[in-house]
Amino acid sequence: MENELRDTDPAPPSAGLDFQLAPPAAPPSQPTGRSVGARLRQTLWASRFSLLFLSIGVGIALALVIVMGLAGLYDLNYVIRELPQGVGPAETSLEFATFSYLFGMVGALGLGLIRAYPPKKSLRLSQKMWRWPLYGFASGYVAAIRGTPFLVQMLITLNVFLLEAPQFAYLGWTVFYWSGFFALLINTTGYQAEAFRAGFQSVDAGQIEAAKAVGLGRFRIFFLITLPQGFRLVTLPLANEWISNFKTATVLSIIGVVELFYWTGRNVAVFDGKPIEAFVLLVFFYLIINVTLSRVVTYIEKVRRIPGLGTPTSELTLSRRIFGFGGIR
Amino acid sequence: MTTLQLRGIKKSFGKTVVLRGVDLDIDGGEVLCITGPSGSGKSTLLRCTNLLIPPDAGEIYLDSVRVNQRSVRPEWVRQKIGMVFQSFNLFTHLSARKNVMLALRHSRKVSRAEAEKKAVYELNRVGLGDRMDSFPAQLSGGQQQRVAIARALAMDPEVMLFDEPTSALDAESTHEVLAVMTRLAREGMTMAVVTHEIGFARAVAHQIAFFDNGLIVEQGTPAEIFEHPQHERTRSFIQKILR
Repeated sequence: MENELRDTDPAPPSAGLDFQLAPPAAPPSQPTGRSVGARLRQTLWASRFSLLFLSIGVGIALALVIVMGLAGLYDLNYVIRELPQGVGPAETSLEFATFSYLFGMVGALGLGLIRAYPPKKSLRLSQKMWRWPLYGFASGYVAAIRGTPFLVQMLITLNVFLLEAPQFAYLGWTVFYWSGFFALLINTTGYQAEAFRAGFQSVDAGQIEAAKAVGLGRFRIFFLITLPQGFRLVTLPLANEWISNFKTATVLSIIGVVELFYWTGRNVAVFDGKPIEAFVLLVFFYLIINVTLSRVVTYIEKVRRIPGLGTPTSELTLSRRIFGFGGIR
Repeated sequence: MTTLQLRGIKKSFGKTVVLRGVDLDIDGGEVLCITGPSGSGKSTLLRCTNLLIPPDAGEIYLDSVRVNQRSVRPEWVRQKIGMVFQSFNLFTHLSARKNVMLALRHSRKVSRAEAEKKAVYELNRVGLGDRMDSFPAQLSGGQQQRVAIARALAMDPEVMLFDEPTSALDAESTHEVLAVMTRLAREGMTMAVVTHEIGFARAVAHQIAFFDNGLIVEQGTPAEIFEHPQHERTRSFIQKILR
């Protein structure tokens, strides 16, 4: 080998000026560039067994409930008769959960971004002056929301509306609705902020470096790289937060918002004195909405999935086959 | 032809001194290969050159314009200096074509149609005309690195920096990537390449710089460095990588 060092022939045969490009590679194994509709059809077809199991599972559960009713354990006729009455409260629940979630997302994006990049020690003083307070506020907000029960947050919000903000007096009795909505918004903002923080932080540092290297500024890097990648990484936690928000909305019944749980409470206590029937109805609405949503999100994740970004969604756990969620991914 | 000059570049991370005052000249159309043991600061030097890591001291001149000063935006500098990374760093959520288009559209403000045309041209140039709509995860390492080269080339850079472009690749992919780089060099691109590919360095480089412990130990033509290294340190390193 040392002889080669002094060899006058400069180029070893494998690596000289005669580099040639290899012939074009085989076409991609996973087809790309197809329409969303085609990919949705493919996903639906691929999960046909999963869907079948889900229907069987739901079917068995429903059959059990109906059999119990027929056996006289509870009044089935009552449940069927009262079912349509729940549509209104269900709409209220859905609206409260969805709108507070969507408006909360705007603030959560900001808070998540602030918390994703804690200010460094090396910053100039003029930067530290505003970066640290901002970071401190965002962290304090998230800690306060996650560290207190929603019930307490809601009652504080209500009392602030009632006592400290007389300019809201014109709202009349709807002040209960508004403060309930606002409390839900404040709450979901804190939880979503944590989801976004995790998403932004899990975007690979090499991606940011590459974006810098092609001359993009930091705002463009955020909107073109960090946000789209981070959003994909947290689709599932964000969907979970919606479901959680929807369930948290039960607490609004305490201040008189006529949503699903309030409706149930009235059924139980005031009118008919049929608690089991009332809860069968309640569970029916919650399950229909949440199971449907989690299936839809699973499909969205699969259809919009980009190879190599995020964990591949496995459909193999038994619990996932039957209920659409659960099990180790 | 653009020339790149580095004068007295120093950089330390905390107490670790990585660069101890590096002087380097790359003339227009010239290929400089930088080699040396790992941890000697080669990658840091490249990152300082396009200001991904701001140097602590020293001057960087691009065509005798000093670029590391307050009045020059680093984004402007990076549009003129293309960079290719060891780990490719393609944008995972975008297809090969969109990877190449992104910077054109959003930092050079080229129209979509024009950016698309340019992307198709550059991807064909690196031999990937048939894989334009694949996502990075669907491409082999060599193909990814070629897309990364196309992405950098699309900005019409005046200088290209390569940070160990083939060290994460198998022999066949290495060959593909080196083929593209060789052609680039022959077309007269000014290039700084951190590499351990001796065959490539011998065949393509005009200058070789041997780097150790934050300093350039020795610099010269491939013949000088490989055949008659002056320093003991260079000699022992060259012997090891030739074995």
